[in-house]
Amino acid sequence: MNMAGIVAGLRPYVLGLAGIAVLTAGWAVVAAAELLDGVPPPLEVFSALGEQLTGAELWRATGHTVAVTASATAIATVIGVLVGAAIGMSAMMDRLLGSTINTLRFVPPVALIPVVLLIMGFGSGSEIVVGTFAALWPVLLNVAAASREIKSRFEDMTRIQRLGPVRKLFSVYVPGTVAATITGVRVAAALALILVVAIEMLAVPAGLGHQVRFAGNALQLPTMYAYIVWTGCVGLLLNSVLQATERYLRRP
Amino acid sequence: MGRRDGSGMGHLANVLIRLVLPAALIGLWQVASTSGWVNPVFVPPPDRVARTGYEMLTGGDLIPAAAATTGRALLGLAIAIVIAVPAGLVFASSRLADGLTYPAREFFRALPTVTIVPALMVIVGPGESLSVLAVVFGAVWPILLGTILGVRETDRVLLDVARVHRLSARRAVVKIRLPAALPQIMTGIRISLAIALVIALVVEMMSGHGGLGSMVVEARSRFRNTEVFAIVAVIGVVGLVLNALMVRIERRTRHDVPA
Amino acid sequence: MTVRLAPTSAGGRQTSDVAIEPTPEVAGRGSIDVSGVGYRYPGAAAERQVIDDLSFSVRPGEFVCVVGPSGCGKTTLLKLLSGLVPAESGGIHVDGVPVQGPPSNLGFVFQDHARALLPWRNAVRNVEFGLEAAGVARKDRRELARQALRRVQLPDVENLYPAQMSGGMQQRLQIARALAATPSILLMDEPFAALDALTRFALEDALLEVWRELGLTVVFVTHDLDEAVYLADRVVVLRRGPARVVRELQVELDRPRDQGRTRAEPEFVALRYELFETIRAL
Repeated sequence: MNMAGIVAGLRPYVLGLAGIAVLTAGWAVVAAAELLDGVPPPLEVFSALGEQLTGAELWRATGHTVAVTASATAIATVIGVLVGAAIGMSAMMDRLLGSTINTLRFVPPVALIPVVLLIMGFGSGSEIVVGTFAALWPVLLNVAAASREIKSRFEDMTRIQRLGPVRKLFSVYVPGTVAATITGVRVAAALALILVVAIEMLAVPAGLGHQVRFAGNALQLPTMYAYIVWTGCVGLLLNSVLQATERYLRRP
Repeated sequence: MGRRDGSGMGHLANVLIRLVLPAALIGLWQVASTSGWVNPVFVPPPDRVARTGYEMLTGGDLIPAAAATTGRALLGLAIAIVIAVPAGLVFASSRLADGLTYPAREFFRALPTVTIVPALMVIVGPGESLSVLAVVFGAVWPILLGTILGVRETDRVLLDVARVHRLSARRAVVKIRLPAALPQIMTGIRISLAIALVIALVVEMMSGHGGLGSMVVEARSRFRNTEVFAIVAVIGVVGLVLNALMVRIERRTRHDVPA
Repeated sequence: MTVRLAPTSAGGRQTSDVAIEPTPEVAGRGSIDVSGVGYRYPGAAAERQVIDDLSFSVRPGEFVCVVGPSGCGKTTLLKLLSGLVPAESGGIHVDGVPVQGPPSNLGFVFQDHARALLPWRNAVRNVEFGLEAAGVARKDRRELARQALRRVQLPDVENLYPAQMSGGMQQRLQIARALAATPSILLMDEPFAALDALTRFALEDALLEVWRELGLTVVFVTHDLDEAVYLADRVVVLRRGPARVVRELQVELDRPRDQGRTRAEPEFVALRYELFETIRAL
């Protein structure tokens, strides 16, 4: 590769870093000039983050939040794939479940938090239920749409080829819906994380959400900001991993 | 999920089939609660929830609270649109602006918005502006992304059309790129609407500053569990109604699919 | 109720009560001159010469069809003529002026009508788009757009959106949009390729009528040899890789032409045969 090519390849990284530097500098100015109440300077926040990164608490909280988010996403994926495939492949199931699904999916998932807390208490179980409820719809709707399309495109072909139901499922429907499923899972995981963090901030005394709230209530502002930045990094990492998986599965 | 049915009877049967599952679920809940399979103190039966809900609706507090929550969500959403659409245009047309902001945008998009609520609470204090700011912060990203993708993916042929008609770059943005991006912008707005409602509720739950969110938290802390269920049902209805309105607006802006 | 006043002076957009009629100046213009033009696709790996030392010219008012094997650069040629892409070498002149961007007296009809129309505008507003771009005063646009729609025999569809129209109607609409701004040259990129045969015949005849009435210069790219012979005064044959003119065939069939009669004439059949053999020999 020639020099110009290398420069062009580096350009996005250089620009991106420059952008982050400008943002951080702006933050430093705001903090130094005390333009906003309670915004600690970036240096303090990053040293607090460094401190937390070497301690056990941050990792325990991260482990908790990630595990709960992953469980919720996994449960939502299983339910979403089964129900989605059922309503995508059968008009009868669509009629039976469609209206209920179309009602429930517009209920803001945070609304469930008080009810779930009432029934299940302040533990991880509540987190998983609320996370699952939020994560279910993208998977379910994507799988339903994809299998509906596969059905309309390949139904005649599969009948002419006399494929049995099992062959049909594994050689037509599964490969045909896998990409849409993973897209649904990516969106689902992001939603689950939001809801898990929210319920941790509101009620369940564990995980990253709780740490942010706890530090905020104790007015340990650098620690609170450190946890906010860290939660963003966790979200970014989660999203990147799923995006890479999606790209791999959708490769031509 | 709508399908046409030939006859009136068929239509009626169709409606009935669609009601089977909701009716069964509510029936199961009623039986479970009244027969004591689940503790009716924690899970009150639906008839009592409905009665309490009706009393609250006619009694006065519930409707203003629903209006407050909806108002905050919609105001925040409107501000987010005003910010995100022009910003998206800039990021989509300037490689420099795009490159500078890309990592930061990705970070904020991946950050669960609720985490910044405590920070905002310190900065602006609890109150109306806290709710609206948090909603703006959460709602801005999907609209921004939709605008960027929509503008960037404008059909090449349409851009050639603009050029053979000798449109200046600026007029091409207004007359071609922005309208071509509208479907994607509307998708972003629809996603942001759901987020806006969630954020408005969470902020109310955390700050206790009015609205359905603080109402439900208060009812729970006073162990008025039937009220909790009733308020949650109202939140669900608000979500449904807002989304139905949004779908209508979205459909009216689309002409590229045959009616 | 056609109100047809004598059009106003050259260059000036007519203000009101106007019809799309050629001004004497416009009718006299519309010449294209291509000399020694070369072009290669940009981009490192795929870089190859698409067009090399290509020369031909079109007289004002002439109907020229360009045919050639697929992938021979016909579409690229139209993009060069319209100034959408710059030529790498050689010169393109429209009315004696070097092309450096889309000339103002030029209309373009794209191949993919579904993508070239603005899906968010109804029919009459799509036509108005061409007028807005040309700077026609708002109050005149609607009437001029309606005239253009009538001219392509699309009178009753003003309020339909492109997605509600058939392919043939969409392509008529695109032609109306190109005509509304009173061009003297019309470039057309396989405009009827995606249409069924009967629709295509109807559109060919509609186009010929518009061409005759307005005295346009038309450069029409097609891969359909019958269509080329039926429409053209002259057929230009390109060869592939890199594109060059290998043959120019004069078509002297009587006008107005007729889909049934003209295509049955021995001269038509002979021309079509000659064209086919020329391309097969490439």
